Amino acid sequence: MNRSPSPKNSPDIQELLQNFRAGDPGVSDQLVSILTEQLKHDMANFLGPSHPETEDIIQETLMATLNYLTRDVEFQGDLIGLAVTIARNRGRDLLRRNQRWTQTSIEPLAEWLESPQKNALEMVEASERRALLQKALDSLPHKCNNLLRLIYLEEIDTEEITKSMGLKSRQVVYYRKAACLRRIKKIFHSLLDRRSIHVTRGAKSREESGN
Amino acid sequence: METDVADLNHYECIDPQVGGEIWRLDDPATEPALAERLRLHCQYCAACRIVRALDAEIAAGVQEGELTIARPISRSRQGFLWLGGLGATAMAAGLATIMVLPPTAPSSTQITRSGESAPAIERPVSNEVIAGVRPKLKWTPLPGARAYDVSIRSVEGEYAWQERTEDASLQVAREAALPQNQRFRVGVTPIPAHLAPEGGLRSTFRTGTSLETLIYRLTHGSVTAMAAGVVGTLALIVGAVGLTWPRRR
Repeated sequence: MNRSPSPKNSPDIQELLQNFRAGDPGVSDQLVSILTEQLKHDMANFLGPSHPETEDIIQETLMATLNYLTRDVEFQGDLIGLAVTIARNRGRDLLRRNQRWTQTSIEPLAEWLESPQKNALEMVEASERRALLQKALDSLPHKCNNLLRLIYLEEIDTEEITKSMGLKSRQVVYYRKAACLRRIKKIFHSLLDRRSIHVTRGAKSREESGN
Repeated sequence: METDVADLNHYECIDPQVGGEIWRLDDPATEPALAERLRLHCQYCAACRIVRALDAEIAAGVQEGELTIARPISRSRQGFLWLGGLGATAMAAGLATIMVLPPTAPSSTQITRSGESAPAIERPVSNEVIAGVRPKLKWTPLPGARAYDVSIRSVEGEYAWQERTEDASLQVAREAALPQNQRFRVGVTPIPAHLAPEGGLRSTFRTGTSLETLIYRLTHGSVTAMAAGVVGTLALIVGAVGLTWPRRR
């Protein structure tokens, strides 16, 4: 994997990164200070001003970012972009969780909840996930459908797939599979979006009728 | 920036340069150090973790028989599907046209010098088979006619009905419903009678079952509609055979 030095970081941050990797103990505080400022601003936009979870998300993000930098010594990407994206993804997790908890009725799942072996919510989620995944698989384009069918359903060896599809190397099969998975992710998420909007509308109308 | 609901599902890759190489985790030939780095990236990157999770989920779902990946339709089969669909549409359109439009009347010898058709009974056309017992009769209006005397008589039986109307059409009255499976003669006499064309306004028709009516319509429908129906049927057959033909692996 050839990677050229990223031009995204300012010279100051680039220098701080180098010193951080070199083990300079004071640098992490400076990095934290720079990132905290940026994260506060971004999270205020993302979650809204003075969200009760903002501080936790920023702390978790700082920890995750520093851990990532410690472990991935080759990191040359955009440091602020890295931290902001981690924070936003955590923000998404939080909002999705809140959205789900406020709208999922537990009462019909009482029987499952009693069973110590089964986690009712996980079961519901798994079945919903599979249903959405099936829809995503059904709407794949011809080439992806063909490739994934060979890989998952017919369990054909990568070498054979390479030959039968007239590809240059096995790596192309892996690359195309990943591209198809990203496409599934995109379809899957757009299906989730529609479902979320539907659920949100349903909750709003329930609230309105309750009031 | 306000976060909307739709945005919640779109996780972003925290380090796209590394995330773009995630596919190498599947490749056994990937160097261990790089594989380790990609795994580390996945630990921190929700977007790439989702891709990996989808991979595992599809594999497990297919294994457990809960997910399936339908065989894609080949181009040739898609062609047959289209052909069959178009054929079915053409056939349906042809049939509908045949049933909706009046049947073609047998060629008339009563052609006037001007080239216009002579006055005639337009429905039922000569020798038409009709399914109902109260047909609506229709004829060419005659200029100057104040009214028309309409009569229907069965050829073999004793049925007879007569009615006067001022219009150029008349539906058989409920109490005068026609008996089934009989041949009838219909005559229309204008008032005054001298307006009647040479030979008068006369026709014959028959009452029959729905099947007999359908067969009659199919054999006496508009040529264009019948051609569309025949071509459509052939296309439908070819499409159906093409789709059900055993496929090669």
